Amino acid sequence: MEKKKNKLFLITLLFAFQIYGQVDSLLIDHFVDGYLKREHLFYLNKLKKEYPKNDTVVFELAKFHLYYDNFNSFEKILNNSKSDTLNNLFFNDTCFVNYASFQIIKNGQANSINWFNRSSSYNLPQHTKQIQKSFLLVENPSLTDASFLPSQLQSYYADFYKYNKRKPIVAGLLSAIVPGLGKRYNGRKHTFLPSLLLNSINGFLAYESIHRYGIKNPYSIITTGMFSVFYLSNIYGSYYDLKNVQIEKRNSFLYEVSDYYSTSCLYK
Amino acid sequence: MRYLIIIALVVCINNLSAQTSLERDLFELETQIYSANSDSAVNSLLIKKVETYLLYKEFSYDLVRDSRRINLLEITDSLTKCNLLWNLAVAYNIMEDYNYATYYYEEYYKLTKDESINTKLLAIMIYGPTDSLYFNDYYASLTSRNSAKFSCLKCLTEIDDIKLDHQKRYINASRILPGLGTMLLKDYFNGAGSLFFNAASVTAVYALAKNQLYFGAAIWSFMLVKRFYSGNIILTKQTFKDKEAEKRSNFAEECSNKITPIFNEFPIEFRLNSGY
Repeated sequence: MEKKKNKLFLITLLFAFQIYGQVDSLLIDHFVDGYLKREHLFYLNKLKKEYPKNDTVVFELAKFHLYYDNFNSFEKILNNSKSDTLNNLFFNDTCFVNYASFQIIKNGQANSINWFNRSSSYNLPQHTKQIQKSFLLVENPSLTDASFLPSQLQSYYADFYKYNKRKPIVAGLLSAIVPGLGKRYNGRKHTFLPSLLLNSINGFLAYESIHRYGIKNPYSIITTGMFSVFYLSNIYGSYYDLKNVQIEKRNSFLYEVSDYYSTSCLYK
Repeated sequence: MRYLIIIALVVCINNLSAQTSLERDLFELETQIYSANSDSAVNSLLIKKVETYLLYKEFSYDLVRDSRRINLLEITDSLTKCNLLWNLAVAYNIMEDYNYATYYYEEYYKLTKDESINTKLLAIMIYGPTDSLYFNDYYASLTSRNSAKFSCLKCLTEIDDIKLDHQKRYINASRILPGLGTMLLKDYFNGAGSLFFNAASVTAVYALAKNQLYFGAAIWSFMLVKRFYSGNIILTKQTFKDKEAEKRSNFAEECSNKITPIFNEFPIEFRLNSGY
């Protein structure tokens, strides 16, 4: 009975070693050192074919795609792999977590939310914690205190915060009162004058033709139509432009955060 | 007996499915490089790897990277070295990296003093786009052997000199009558369009001024007439450039037709010696 138990234990041990011993990390380091992307991918795909359910192989594939900036494939692996073993591999590798975090916040809101939700039950490294806090800060600027940000990032956050407070409806109204003023409110100082000038010229053209020939004259109809189109699109443009400005400032801040906390230690 | 046939069949199918793909070959060579225990072994495996790229006609950054990993001083066999230098000169010439092609070609020539026609043709291909002095030397050397056969190679350096004359004349014609220069360059449709839009914009501005809409006339003349007029000149310049490119492309095609028989007779081929 005892002998049987020992045999079983040995077989289990052998099996476990076989699974975890598949990935030759020194060979992977060799590929990374020489930037041998093709060979590296072939090796990982070969392992994946041989051991489709091996989490270590999936983890190495995720690392590969992250390293070679193939973010869509990395994201696909991340979304398809929900096992605890894989999560442990992801979140217990400090370099991987830091590297993935600073890449993820540059690649869209949904990815970041998904990533930080998954990581919530793990003890995250310090850099990732800071990145996560910065991400939460832009998600809820009024709820979080920004004092934890280093001085280099404060100005970018201040810029984001300033524009995030502004209301698109105000930009639209300002442009209705003085064409181009809404753009100035959105921070686009250089577009104010051209916008004002273009609308004034169109207004004057319409005024001149109506004044001389009346509103029913075809030329008056054309010039009035042109003026209306320019005037309304200026209001519409100012309204939507502020939304774009807010997204730009948000992304710009997150890029700065990403650069500040970036690390190159994915493999070594 | 039946089992033997089945086993043979399985082995056959296995061999078929194991048709060497480039990726697999590169991976296998790289794993051998990784486990090689001497620099000379690494070097010969790298040569094999470079030849694999050439065999698959894969002229990419990977070939460049792996070729630069080879230590030329480590190669002891002179035939292997000669073939490698030749192959790299041809490959870099295909990739249009003429500096490296020149370097490998010169190394090859230093080592072999090869005066064959194929070698001179390779030199002509490499120096053609970069160094007219060397090109002329090789050209003279080839024509001295057989001027009737090789004189057509001269066209390789003449492609860049193909130009269309009198650009200013066409532009001035368009300045005097919008669209005329474009029409003289035989682009009648765009020339007529240019003439029509310019005439229409001038007529519209004239009509506005005649009806005492002075502000409108000023604005439209500034916005339309100026744009159509300057656009007409830009169009003429662009048409001239297109015609010049067309002339050059026709010349290049003619040149290619002339020199193809020479390259068929003296082909520039890779010299693979890794047992492929």
